[in-house]
Formats: sequence, structure tokens, C-alpha cells
Amino acid sequence: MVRIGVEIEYLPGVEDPEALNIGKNLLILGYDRVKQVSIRKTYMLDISGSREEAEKIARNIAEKLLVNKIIQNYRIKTAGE
Amino acid sequence: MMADRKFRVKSVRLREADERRLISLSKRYSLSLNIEEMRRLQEYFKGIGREPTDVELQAMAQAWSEHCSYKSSKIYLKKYLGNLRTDYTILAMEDDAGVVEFDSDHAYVIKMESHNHPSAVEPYGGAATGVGGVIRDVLCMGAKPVALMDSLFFGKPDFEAGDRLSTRFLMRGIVGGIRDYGNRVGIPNVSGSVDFHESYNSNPLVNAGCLGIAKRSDIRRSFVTKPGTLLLLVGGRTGRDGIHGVTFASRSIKAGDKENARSVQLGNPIIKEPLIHAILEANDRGLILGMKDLGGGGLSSAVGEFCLGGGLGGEIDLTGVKLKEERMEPWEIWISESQERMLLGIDEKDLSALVSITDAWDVESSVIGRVVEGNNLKIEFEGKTVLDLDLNFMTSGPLYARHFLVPENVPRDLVLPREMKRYDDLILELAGSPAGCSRQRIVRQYDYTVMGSTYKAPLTGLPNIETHSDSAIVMPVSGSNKGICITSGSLPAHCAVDPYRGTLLALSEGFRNILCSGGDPHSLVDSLNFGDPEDPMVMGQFIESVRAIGDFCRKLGIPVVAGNVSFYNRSGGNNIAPTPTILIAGIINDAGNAIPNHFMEHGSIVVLAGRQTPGLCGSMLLDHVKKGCSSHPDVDLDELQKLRAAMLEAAENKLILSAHDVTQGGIVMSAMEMSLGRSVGVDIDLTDISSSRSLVKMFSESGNCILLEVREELLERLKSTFRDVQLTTIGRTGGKRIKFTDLSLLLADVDIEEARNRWDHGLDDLV
Repeated sequence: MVRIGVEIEYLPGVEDPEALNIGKNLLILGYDRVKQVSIRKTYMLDISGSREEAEKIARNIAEKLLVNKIIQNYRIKTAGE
Repeated sequence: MMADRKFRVKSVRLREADERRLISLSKRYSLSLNIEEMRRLQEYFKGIGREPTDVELQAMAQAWSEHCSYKSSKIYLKKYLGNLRTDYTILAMEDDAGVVEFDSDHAYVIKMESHNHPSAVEPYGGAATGVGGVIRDVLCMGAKPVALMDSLFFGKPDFEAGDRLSTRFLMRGIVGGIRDYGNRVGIPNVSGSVDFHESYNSNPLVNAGCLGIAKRSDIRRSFVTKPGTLLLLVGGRTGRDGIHGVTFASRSIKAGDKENARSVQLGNPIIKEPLIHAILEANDRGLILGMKDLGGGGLSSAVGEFCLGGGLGGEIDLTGVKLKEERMEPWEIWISESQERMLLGIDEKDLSALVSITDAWDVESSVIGRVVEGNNLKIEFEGKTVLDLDLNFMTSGPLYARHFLVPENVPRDLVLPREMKRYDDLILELAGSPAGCSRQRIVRQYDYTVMGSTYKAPLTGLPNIETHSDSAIVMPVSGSNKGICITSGSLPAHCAVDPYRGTLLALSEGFRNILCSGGDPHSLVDSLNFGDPEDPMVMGQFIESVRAIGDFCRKLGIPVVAGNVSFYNRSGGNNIAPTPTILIAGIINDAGNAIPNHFMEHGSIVVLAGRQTPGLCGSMLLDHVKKGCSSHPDVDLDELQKLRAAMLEAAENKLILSAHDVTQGGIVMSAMEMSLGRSVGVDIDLTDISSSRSLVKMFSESGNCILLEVREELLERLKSTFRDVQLTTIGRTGGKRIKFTDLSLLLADVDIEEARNRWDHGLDDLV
């Protein structure tokens, strides 16, 4: 069993209203040293088989279902067997 | 921010270019200009004796795009829709939205726009920004947006998408985008339509509309006439999103269109809401001389039109524009279609007052230049001139009278579907089909009561068993019972057979939707969605459809106050069916007199007003049994005019218990929808309607028919009110079943709850 993480983030230049507003609220709370907030989402998948196979499956899943490639980017992270 | 890099003006070698290089330049810079247009540009720059900069080339491509210049449609819009105004029209087809008199103090502002291409690539973001854009169109006239509407057109639910986007995916994204944007910005979504047709497979249409209300003195134009006026950019920041949106919308989508990723704009309703407040407050205090929203073409289109509209020029400095990303090129800033931005023209002395308002609402603003005498536009970036052009040349885009073919309407022998002994199963199938079922799965995702001015919601009837409203009613001025009825929709299956008569029927349906709520149709907005205008058949469809709108409005005295045209809706080699979406606003003097759209009482009489035209062309039934047709019956506009007078008189004298128009699905679906709202059954005898076959009488969608419910003791008065229109008594309400008989033969007998069960769940698997 391999644990694979699919980490998804917005492409550069894509505005993320949620992150922007968290940033704005941090300023209101006085955390003025925080210059930027961005949000990433990670899906953890436990996949049976070898590491290569699992990564291939995860990549497939990401492209088919999890990622909107018009506005998002993703990377595969393997946690270990 | 940019100090670490010295900016250099980039000029493009155009003057000496041969044909091949012109075409490759157009491609390389994503200009979407054809060879003749490129040659015209070349001639111009030869004439002024220098090469264009990259900013100039991009600006010209924006200004000359189909989306901005209406180069294929302008001639016909002028020919058929010019001079369609009435004495209560304040601004028709002039600025970003139509302005119409509401009462002695107020005007309503109305607009509908398509956002098809972005929604086909990124459905969620594309649909959301469609809503955002049309809100700004209304806001920039100085009006407070009070209601939204959306007409959506999807491919067949069962279409095998392969590597293209499936109907289910597109539908979820588009409905989600409209829901999230509208709900977050806090404007009720009150009306709309959803249609399915195979020509929209992977090429959905999103038409978003907005209604606003303003004091008549607060209406602002989209230009200024005073030289020296400061230009202020207010709202969201400028980024690389949405670059080349309009040039993208001016060609057809190809499979795997990866380069269009960047042409999708992303909305941010959390900025839009305070922006609306800030603008309305500044306008209320008289600080705004003129304003324009930034939509397709970004600053390029907005500044150009803003200056030229007042017969003036402009001097712009892009250095101070607030950016989302560092290191943006001036051409990117100039044509970016980033959302949530407005361009204001203000007097220099009012700058500090205005900035204090925007600051209070936490909205960013930056001065980008001023309006000057003459008609030259000059843009600087980091101290260097990047654009210096004559505005008259920029906006003198090409005008095409494209080759067109009007399809000949040859009546063909049509094999009608076989008559059945009983229609119970067919009715239940239609009730549960995507075309005929309840839209509540979608409508309930939208907030349609926020703001508290929705008098009649899109769903109406007893709680939890509501049916569809014909039109929604909003009461935009507090303390007044005067309301505006709103409806929008189209009939693609009808228009596909005959664009002229199909468009007339769509207009008639919208018109009757208003009448059935007790309102008087008042003004009209069109959103015209068509395929590739370089295809003569498509151009013919467009011309026929616009001609229909012109004929209809002239006959019935309705002004066309705003509109938009979207061409190049084509993917997978197929043009979409002609889709003229019709948005009609009606006035109801006292919303308390609104007519319900579902049966109210047991034991009342059901009558059919209007003459049913026999023919199943374009009907839900033919589509369901997968049969085609070739000729479409005429639409009788004289009858519609008489129907209007009779309906208004009957509404005023409270003769009608309920009313519902007969269009999609014919009498069967209309009667069923009326039964559902309060679970009041009906027993209809089709014998007296005409001598047509039962099947035709049940499912024909043609003619200007309305189903009316009336108390028995008022029937004679109703008959005298409708003396000029055919009125046929066809049945009686009561019980818990929906029954149809013809010539004493029982054709269908369906239990209301069973019908509701199918009707309610038709979209469950899709959205």
C-alpha cells in the first residue's frame, strides 16, 4: 500500500477570494507581517501496488476528477510505503 | 514594483509584411483578425509612417473583434430593430443597458448578456462572471441591481462526451457558478429557463440578465462631455485573467483549446458587493459624471468608448494601475478582462471625496488618466508612450454584410407518431424527462427572496408542492405596490426548424408569460446566440430571427431597449440551433392583483383562450419520440394583441382565478403544471378545441394559447371580455386526478401525486 498525496493549488494569477479575505482579516487582527496567504488542498490516497503504479493511478485520478486544469495545478507527493 | 527592470516599448514590423507574415502575426499575437482586416491595419500604419507597438496591435484587435464591434450583425440590428422605442423609453440600445420609465420618479434598467465561450471552457468561473458582468452593466447606468435572471441551454443529458465536457459536468459547474456568485453578492435570482438540445452538446449557452432601479435623476451615461474629467479605475485589481476573452469569443471553439485557459475570467463577489455600495453612494452624492463597466476588451474597450462617446480623446498612464501580479506588460494591462472593475469619470475637485467613500467600503481605486479635447488616445507606461492612435480609426471597425441563405420552408409530409389508446405512460415519461420536468433542483439553489422585494417567486403554489411561475414579480420601490414582471427564455427546437416563426413563438411565449401573471408587457431585451456567421446558413438564421423581433415589437408596440449578439457558438463541427433569448419586463400597477399560475379551487371552469394552431413542429413530443419536422405554423400577432387587451381587462376585473400559457409540452404539460401547485385535479375534454387528431390537440405548442381557470358564475362575463378571441370551455377542476378525453374517449387518467413524483425528480441525476 502506498500513500499518495495530490496537492492542488491555483495557477499563478488566479485570484482566490478565500485566501485574499483571510489575508485581509489577518491585517484587521493586527498580523501585519503576513504579506500573502495562499491555500492548497491535499487529497491523501491509499493505493495498493508498487510506487510507480500508484503514482500513475493518482495522476490519472487527479486529471480526471480532482483538478480543474484551467485554473489549477497539482503535484503528486508520495509519503512512503 | 517594477524598478528592477527597465521597460522597453516593443514595436511590431507590420508595414513591410507580406500576406503570410500578416496571417502569422494575427496568430502569434492572438488577434483573431482576418487578412483583409490585417491589410487595413497595415495601410493605416503605412499612412502615419511608423510601425505599431504591441499595445496598439492588441488594442485594435479588441476594438475590431466581433464581440466589441458587432461587425457581422450591426447592419441587420439597425435595419430591423432601429427606431423601436416608445414614449416611455429613456435609453434604448445606446449605452450598456436599457433604461425605461417606471413611475414619475424612477426608471428601471435592464440588460441581458451571453457568456457562452467562457462557460464552455470553465463552466463555474464562466457562468459566475457572466452574472458579475451583467450586474455591472446595470450598475454603470447608476441603478441599484435588484434581480437576476438566467437562461441556460445544455446538450442532451445522455450525450456521449468522449474527451469533451459532459452535459452533467457543464450543468453542475454553470448552475454552481450562478448560485455562488448571485447568492454571495446578495441579489435575488428570480427568473430564467433551462433547455436541452443536441446542438448544445459541449457548447452550452449562458445568458444572464439583470434588472436595476434608479431615481431618474441618478441615471448616468457611459461617457463624459467635459474635457479634463479624471478617469478613475475602481474595484478589483487587474491581472492576466481573461486576456483575449473577446477575440476568443469571436471564433469557434476547437477541441483541446488549451490556449484559451487564460481567456477565462474569475469572479470575486466579495469585492463586487462593497463595490456596488460604494458606486451607488458616490452617485447619490453627485460625484460621478459618467461611468462604464469593464467587460469584454477590458480597459481598451471601456476607455475608448468612454472618450469617443462624448466626442473627446484621452490621455492614460498605466503605471499606476493596481495589479494582481508583478511584471505585467502594458498590453496585458490594457486588454485584461479581470472582473469587478468600473471606470468612473469624475471632476478633479471631487477626487478626495470619492476616494474617502471607496476607502470606507474597502474598495481600491486608482487615477489612470483624463479625458482631453480632440479625438486622440495616448497611453503612457513608465514614462514612455506605448499607444498613440486616432480613436475614430480605432472604432471604425470593418462592417460586414455577409453572404446569407434563408432556408426555404418546404412543407414535407410528416409521419405523425401513432395515436395511442392511452397516454398515461407517455405523460408520466414527459413529466419526468429533462425537457418537461421541474426546474426546482436548480431554482432552489438560488436565493430568490434576498432583498425582500420578490413578490412572486419563480416557484409558486402551496409550500413544498410548488409549480413553475410564468413570470416572477419584484416590487423594486419600497412603499409602492407597483411591480415589474420578469420572464426570459427561448425555444431552440422551434427556431431550429424555422428561425422566423420560431422566434415569433418564443416572443409570444414571453409575452403571454407576462400576461398570465397579470402584468402588461413593457419592454424587451434580446440575447442572440448563433453559430458561425461566416456560414451563410447561420447568417440567414440570424437575419430571419432579428426580422421576427422587429416585426413583433413594431406590431405590439414594445421597445427593444438592450441586447447582445454572440456568434461563433460552434463546436465539434456543428453550429448551435438559432437561440434568440427573449427577456421581457412587464408592469403590474398593483402586485396584489397578480394572477396565480396554478389551479386555485375545486369545481371551477377551465377555458382555453386563443386558437390552437395544429402542428407538432418543434414540440417536446416529437423530440421525445425522436421524429423531425420541416414546417412551422404561423404566429398570429393580431390575435395576440386582442388577447393582451382581454387579459388586462379580465385581470383588472378579477375574473380569472389562475392562468398559464400553453407552450412547451402543449395543453397536457400546462394543465399538469397548473394541477401540481395546489394538488387540484382537472378533467379536460379536448373535443371542442378543433377537429385535429387527439395527439395534436394534446401536444401542439403552436398558437397564442392560455389556459384560464374561472368561477362558473363569472364565465359569461369572461366570455364577453374575450369576445374578440376564441374562447373554448374545455373542462372543470376538482379531484386528485388529471384526465383528458376527446370525443368521449378517455385518453389519459393520471394521479397528481404520481405525476409530481416524476416531475420533481427529473433532474436528480444531473444537477
